[in-house]
Amino acid sequence: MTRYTASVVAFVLAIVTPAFAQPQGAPPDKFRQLEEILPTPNEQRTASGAPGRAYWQQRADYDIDVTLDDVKQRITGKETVTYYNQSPDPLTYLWLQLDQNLFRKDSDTALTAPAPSLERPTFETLDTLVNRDFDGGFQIAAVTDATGKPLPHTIVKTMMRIDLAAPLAPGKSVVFGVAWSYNINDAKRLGGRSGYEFFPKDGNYIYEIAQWFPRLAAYNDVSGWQHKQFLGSGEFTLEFGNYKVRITAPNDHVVGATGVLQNPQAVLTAAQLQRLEQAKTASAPVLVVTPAEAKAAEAGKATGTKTWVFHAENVRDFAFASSRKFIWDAQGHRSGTQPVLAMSYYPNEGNPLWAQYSTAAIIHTLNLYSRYSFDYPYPIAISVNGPVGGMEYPMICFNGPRPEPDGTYTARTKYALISVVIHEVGHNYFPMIVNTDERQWTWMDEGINSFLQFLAEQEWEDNYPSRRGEPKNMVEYMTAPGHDPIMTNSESVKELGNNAYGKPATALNILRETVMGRELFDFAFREYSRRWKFKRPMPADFFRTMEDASAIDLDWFWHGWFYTTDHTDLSLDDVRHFTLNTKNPETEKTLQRQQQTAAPTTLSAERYRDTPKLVEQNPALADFYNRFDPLAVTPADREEYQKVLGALTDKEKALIGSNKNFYVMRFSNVGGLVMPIILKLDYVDGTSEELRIPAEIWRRDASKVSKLVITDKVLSQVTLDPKLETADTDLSNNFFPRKPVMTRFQLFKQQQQTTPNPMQQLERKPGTDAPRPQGPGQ
Amino acid sequence: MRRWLAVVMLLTGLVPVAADAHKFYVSLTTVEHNTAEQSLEITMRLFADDLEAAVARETGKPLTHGQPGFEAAVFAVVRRALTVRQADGQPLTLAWVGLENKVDVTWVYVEAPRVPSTTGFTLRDTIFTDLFPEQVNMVHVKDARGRRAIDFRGGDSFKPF
Ligand SMILES: [Zn+2]
Repeated sequence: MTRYTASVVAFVLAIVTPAFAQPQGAPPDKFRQLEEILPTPNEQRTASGAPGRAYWQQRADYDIDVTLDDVKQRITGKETVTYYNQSPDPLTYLWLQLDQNLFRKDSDTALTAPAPSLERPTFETLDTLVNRDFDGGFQIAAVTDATGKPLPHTIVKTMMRIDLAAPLAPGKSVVFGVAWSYNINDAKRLGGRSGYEFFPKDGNYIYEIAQWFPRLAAYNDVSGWQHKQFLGSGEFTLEFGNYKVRITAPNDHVVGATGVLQNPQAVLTAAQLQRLEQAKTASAPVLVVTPAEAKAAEAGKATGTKTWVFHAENVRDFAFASSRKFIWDAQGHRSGTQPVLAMSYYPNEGNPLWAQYSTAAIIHTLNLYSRYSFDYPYPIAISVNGPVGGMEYPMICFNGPRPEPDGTYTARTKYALISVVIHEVGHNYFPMIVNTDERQWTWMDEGINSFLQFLAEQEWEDNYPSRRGEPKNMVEYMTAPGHDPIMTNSESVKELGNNAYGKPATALNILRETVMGRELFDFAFREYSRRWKFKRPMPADFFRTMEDASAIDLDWFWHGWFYTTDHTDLSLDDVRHFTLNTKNPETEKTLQRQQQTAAPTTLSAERYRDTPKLVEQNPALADFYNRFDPLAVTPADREEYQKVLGALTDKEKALIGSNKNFYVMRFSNVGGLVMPIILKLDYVDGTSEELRIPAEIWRRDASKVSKLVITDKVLSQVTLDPKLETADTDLSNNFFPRKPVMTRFQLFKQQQQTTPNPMQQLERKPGTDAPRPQGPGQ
Repeated sequence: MRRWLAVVMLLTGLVPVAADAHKFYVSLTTVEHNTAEQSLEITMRLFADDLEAAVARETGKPLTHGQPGFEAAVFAVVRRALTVRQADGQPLTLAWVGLENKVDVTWVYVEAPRVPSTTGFTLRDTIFTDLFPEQVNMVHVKDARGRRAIDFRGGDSFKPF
């Protein structure tokens, strides 16, 4: 640390000199208000980020009969839809989403897929490329009005327009019917958010069925009809409504679905009914269908069909799962005043993990998410194991992880299962209830949900291995040149996992822990959730509510983190130390002597030190100046000091005698993102303290700032962002005095050199002691 | 004729697979030129399950982290996938440093000694592109000229440093 002694006057001058002159060339104002980018507030959406007095949304109720064909892997259905026009606009046509058309051979998804590698392709890759035998996509058999008369309709890729006989006036509703069928995709082979899995060992299937019926596209005040084509990444935006669904499946299948089972007596055995009843008040999962019963069903064949009837209220979608392989467990739970049945459906292949963790993770998720948003409003919460790795629908989600066939499992699989159940059950809140537009903004559901997932994981066990949430895990992505801002459309984002899940989750974690503080953040976040529960918020509504409820101007944060690709790299450039000139000759001359002694001796001076000198040999050559000590305190010095003291007031005397240390710290912003400056101050006496400076320090000059810190004690070390809370990408400029910072590679290598690696321990050949210098295969 | 057929199949190719909401086929490799040591230090962050799939393909049998032969197989996979060429076109010889497993992620460390400069270098990272059509490999380069990011998809050729 550089040390300066300055006179009082000079010191005061340094402070009053304007330090914040704007650099030339008008750098971008990082604190510019967002109003000019955000849409103008209106009667639907207020400037505070709440639904306005004229907020409206449409509603669609569905009455559906569907048959699952377990021989041909086919869905056949017919629906009667009641569509309520609650908008102020007359509608001459309706748009429906036909998501299964993604699997058509001529879909835009297929046509625009980048070429895969043909170097050493696997048989699986070749198989999906060459044997393109899957005949996917909706076959629309009929579109009719309420009386059964055909309605004209036009299919445009993954959308269908139905032309109404007369415009649907505001406040009116229309009833129409659609009949359809489609072939279910092999989700293990072709991918997809739903589909079937075939088990060659026992010849059975698990079906996870979603996006299986023509669904109303959203019509809203921001997009009009939201009918941006489905390409595979941008998920869904849908209308709330009530569902009555009759699912006809083989009579030995167990069916789980969005909604409450209406006819348990007709589809369950007496024993199952009794177990289900018992589960409602149980404190651990109760097996409604046991592993042995599932095993027995696997060996049999259906003798007919059964129809399961489900009703769901105020949901934006409906999905179900069906298989004779399912074990089924259930446990009652209460969220506020809402009784909930948490349930899991999984094959014997899912155990031992599923019985132990799935339903427990559902209940943990409901507890945690309700604390940060609102009570879970639905009576059912289901997790299903099947071919889909992780996908969410209202009240039901599909989760992939399974133990090894031999019944063992790795820690990775265990945590993957717990994490994915938390994540997918968490999606019930975002976007199933806070109904964001996933086709447009993936981050609004995935980012917010990944943030809450991190909180839930951290409350699961100590040091839970969360993949996303910790700022330090986002550093590599944020320094990648050419990555996208978070505010990028869902289908155009290059690295969806980092962009729409990891970065927004990290941003919200930083907002909560570092920028706003937990109390203010939690209050504002709960307000956002409460305002938009069962409604459709847009990004501006989130940005505005978080400010509105907290009185913290966050425009700089939204701008930097969501609209730009700037990253955090703050540098502590230097620290200068000033002390007061007390004018006291005893103090000041002692100090000067110390500095003189501490100054380095030159090489020549050192070598001449012991050489005999002429003046020493011949004292006649010595005079006054050979004896004079300029740093000795003289009576004249003391007299002068008394004079100075006499002119000072008591207050001024105390100030000069206060013995304060003045540190001027200079910072520069290398990464471009403005962030709070978090400092750890270590003192020479071994104590330390933390200093937290809000981001507003950068408001006049976002590239260079300075800060004065006054202390009683002398500093030994200053550290910027000591707890790695700001995603600072370069730690080598975070220390003053500088400290070497090793890369992950160097840290690993250093540690490897001290302990033999597992190969050296395990693979050392008998009779050879020397570890191989070049590693394997060299 | 065979070549032309392959092109037609790709044009009508299917692959809507990225549909699984939470599985992303991405790897991140940091290539840092240590000017003091005159070495190229390479750190790869790979999803552990993808790496095990590649090892199984390499060795013809399933192997997991900690089992004998796993590191050797990982090194074989990495050497096949990651190539750094010097200005004269000669590939650098990569030396094994080690690997680390962090639940769902495996960090792989390799290095190339005796690299005084990276001028004129090119590289290619095809790891897992033979297994997953959607695989994207991000490479962050840090050397005397600063930081750069290069991304590789299946079929991509060598790209300049
Ligand atoms: Zn998600």
